[in-house]
Amino acid sequence: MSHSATTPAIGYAIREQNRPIMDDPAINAAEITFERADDPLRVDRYLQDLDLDHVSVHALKLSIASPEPPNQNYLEALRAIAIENGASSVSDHLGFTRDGDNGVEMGHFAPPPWTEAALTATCRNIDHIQKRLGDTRFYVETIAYMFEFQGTMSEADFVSKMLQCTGCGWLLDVTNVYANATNFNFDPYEFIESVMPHAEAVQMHLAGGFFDERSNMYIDSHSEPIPDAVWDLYRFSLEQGRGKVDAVFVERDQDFPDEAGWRSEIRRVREIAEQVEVPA
Amino acid sequence: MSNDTLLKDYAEQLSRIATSLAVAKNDVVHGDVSAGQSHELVEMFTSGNLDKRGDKLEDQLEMFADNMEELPSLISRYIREIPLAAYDTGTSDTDRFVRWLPTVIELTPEQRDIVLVIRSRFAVEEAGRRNRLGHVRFQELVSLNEQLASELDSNDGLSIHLNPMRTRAVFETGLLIGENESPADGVEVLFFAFQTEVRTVILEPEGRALVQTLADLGPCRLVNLKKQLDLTTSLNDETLLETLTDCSEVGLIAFS
Repeated sequence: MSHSATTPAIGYAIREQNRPIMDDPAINAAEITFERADDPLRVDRYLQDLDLDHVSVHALKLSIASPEPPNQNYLEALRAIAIENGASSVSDHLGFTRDGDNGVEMGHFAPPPWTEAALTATCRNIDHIQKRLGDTRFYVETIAYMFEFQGTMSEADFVSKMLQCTGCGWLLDVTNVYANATNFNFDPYEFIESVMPHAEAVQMHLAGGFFDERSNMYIDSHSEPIPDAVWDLYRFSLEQGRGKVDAVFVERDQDFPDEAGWRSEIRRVREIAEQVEVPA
Repeated sequence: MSNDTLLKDYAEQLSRIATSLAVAKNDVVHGDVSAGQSHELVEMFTSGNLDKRGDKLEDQLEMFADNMEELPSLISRYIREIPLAAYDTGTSDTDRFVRWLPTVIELTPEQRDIVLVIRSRFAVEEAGRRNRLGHVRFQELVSLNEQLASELDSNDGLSIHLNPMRTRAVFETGLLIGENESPADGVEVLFFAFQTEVRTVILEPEGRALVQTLADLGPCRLVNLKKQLDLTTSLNDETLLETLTDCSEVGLIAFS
């Protein structure tokens, strides 16, 4: 099946469970998690013989809000995986997982404090990463967080300034914005509407989580079908980003659907993207 | 305030936050969290991270399941005392755990053997990481082994290559080789990469001599290998060919 050049490339974040359906006609993109692909004893590329229009490598440890830029070895390894798999983009999260290069790792990313100092460090690190990646475009993902640190600006201002200062792409995780909006009581539509004009290029993530009664929070667990509210926000995001959305990836890490479930979800992602791209 | 001062303060703040949250000292960061946000959420964040780290360690340490009753409590202690190092991965954390173990408990000989296995596997993986090209090239040669092994008795021009991704260890006990008795001088084993896995072989004296000679010589022609082995061992041609065939079948050596 040929896809319109104006429709974003669409696919899954690859897991062993969805590899069998990666030949679905609705799929022409894939996201590779760097840590899964970087097997030190690999003899074949992670994508194997898949031939796709758009491949992105998703990293977890660039820790772009850390006070120091990521080390050369990690960047080299990331670049090697991107080249090996013909990736045109690399992404990581807006947050920090460690303090410095010789420091400690927390095990998951936390959001930076929304401050000028954090913004300066983050932009400097993104510049460093972009120089190292060369023509491979770098996207920064808005994360879902459980708490925020004290800051002096809003997250939307921080992200907008970061995009303006660095020209990096925005990996808009629609479900993360939905989760944060639910948990911290803001309007996700306003958030997306205010940030989108500052992004030159956009990728999107979609996933499904659940509402946890104990913590009174929406948890982005990647374990459920995409909820209706996220589908609506996805359509809105496509409308806002019309013409600059390069790719959309669906993430699922637990409670995997059956083959029909995998196929129907990705087809719906494409269907909505094609509807939005058609001029009114 | 200058940019440098702001960044220095930021580095100090992040260092304090990261080092505290890495080992769930949550109260240290309570003053950093936005007003009105529950400190319980910080605890959820750190306990989730520690649980994930502990689960990963437990999975990778399953060899200890029948040999270390206190493993769960040791893992729990380790993840609260020793933070993950920057860029640490699942397997490197496991390697650190087994290096930490003898500092907190006295290991039995059987437990020491299990530690050897875990450390050796990690060493082979790290060798692969440092020399990716060497690993890939050797595995390409291995794919020709079946074809070229048939030429061993007729083609003295064959070159023999030793797998560069390998490490040796000596087991103290018979636990991992299915023996009840502990061998007097230990059991020498070789760990090496085969495609994406780490294989183990117990080498007979002939195999040990071959591996040592190839390690000393580097890749060499069969004719030169024979000459060298004639000087240093009593291996006859027939035994040498059998040993080469055996080693090639498991992927320890390759031909070109």
